[in-house]
Amino acid sequence: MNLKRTLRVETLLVALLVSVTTLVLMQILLNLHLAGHSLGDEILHINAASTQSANAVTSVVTYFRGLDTLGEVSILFLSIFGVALHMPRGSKNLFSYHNTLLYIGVSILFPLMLLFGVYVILHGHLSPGGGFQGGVIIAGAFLLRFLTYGDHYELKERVVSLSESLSGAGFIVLGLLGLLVGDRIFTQILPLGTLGELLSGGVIELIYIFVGLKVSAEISLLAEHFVKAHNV
Amino acid sequence: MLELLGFVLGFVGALFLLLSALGLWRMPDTLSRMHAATKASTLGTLLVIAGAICYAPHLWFKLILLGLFVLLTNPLSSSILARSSYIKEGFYHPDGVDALKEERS
Amino acid sequence: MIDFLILSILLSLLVASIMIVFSEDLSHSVITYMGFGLGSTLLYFLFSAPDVALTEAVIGAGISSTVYLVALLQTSVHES
Repeated sequence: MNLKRTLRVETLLVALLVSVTTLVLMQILLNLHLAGHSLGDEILHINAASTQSANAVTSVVTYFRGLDTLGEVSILFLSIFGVALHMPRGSKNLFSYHNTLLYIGVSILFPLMLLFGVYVILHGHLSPGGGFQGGVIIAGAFLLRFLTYGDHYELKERVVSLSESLSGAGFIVLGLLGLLVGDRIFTQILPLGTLGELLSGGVIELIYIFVGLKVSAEISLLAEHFVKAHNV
Repeated sequence: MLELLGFVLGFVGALFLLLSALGLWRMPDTLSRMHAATKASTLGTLLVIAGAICYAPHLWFKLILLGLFVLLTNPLSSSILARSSYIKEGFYHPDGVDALKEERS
Repeated sequence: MIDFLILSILLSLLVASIMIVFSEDLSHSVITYMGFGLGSTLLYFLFSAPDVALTEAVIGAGISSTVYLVALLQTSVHES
């Protein structure tokens, strides 16, 4: 009883703290006016000269900070590795739910979602999106399929692991080629196109295709391991 | 003229969305809530999209695609939700007409 | 107008997070977490970061909720 009372006081204190912090953050966000010359203006200025990519965020992620992206991708790889080691894939699906309407709807939706993911990956340097976003959308399509088809659908593990490892290797090889040809890792090694066309951006698009393949393979494998887990 | 039409369509659509939210709050059980949340919100979203087409006609293709997508997903997911809710808990009022039970038995 | 919208979304996020922490049933927490992801997607979009909004829309509504639901299915909750 006593324990419960102290717990309640503590949780109330936590709620009070959260609300006060949110109010302060809201005050800061609503009164934020960046004055003068900032880092964003500088990056936009360099971006127009060096990458010809219409979306400056992707050129920051892949071109200016390519090594950080490599770190993120390897963290994702390590987490999938841990999940696959800890939860071996069973044969029984946890969410088996048979319904004809759902089959038909998902069989219409699945290619559309794949197409949208590929579009987001390929237009990463022109519009919002990129490798991570498109890869996650493709993995969401596969997740929908796992949830619908139950035990009758599974990924071919050889194909998935092959595409995942090959795209990871290609990503690193692109970085090393930048080190070999240019002056630093992940530098521009391809000719730039004109701003706003599909084949502009140079090396950014290749990097994003590799990142998209890798992320989609990894997260759909993660979803399969979670959906078809053994009963612990 | 077209802008005025778009404004009116968007307003009516927002009204329908508000009605569906109100129904979601006021209705007593799960299936009645689904009834309020599915039809009214689908109609409201489609009306808002039609209003947006009238307001900015150069975006017609993307907006029609968006409407088709809403029309594909929203009734499907609500149907699945209602069916699983029925299978798990049954009806709120026990003396109603239960066609699905007669069909299954 | 935009300020009012941002303010209302932030308030609803606050309410949603309090509901996530304090709700009795853990599956209610997962559903409310999906609503939280929707609100933060809108917020990212209003702060002109559509990249982050896309990621949050897929991860927050689709994949993380599946992960949480599987975790709920595989464990049992003891109320003392």
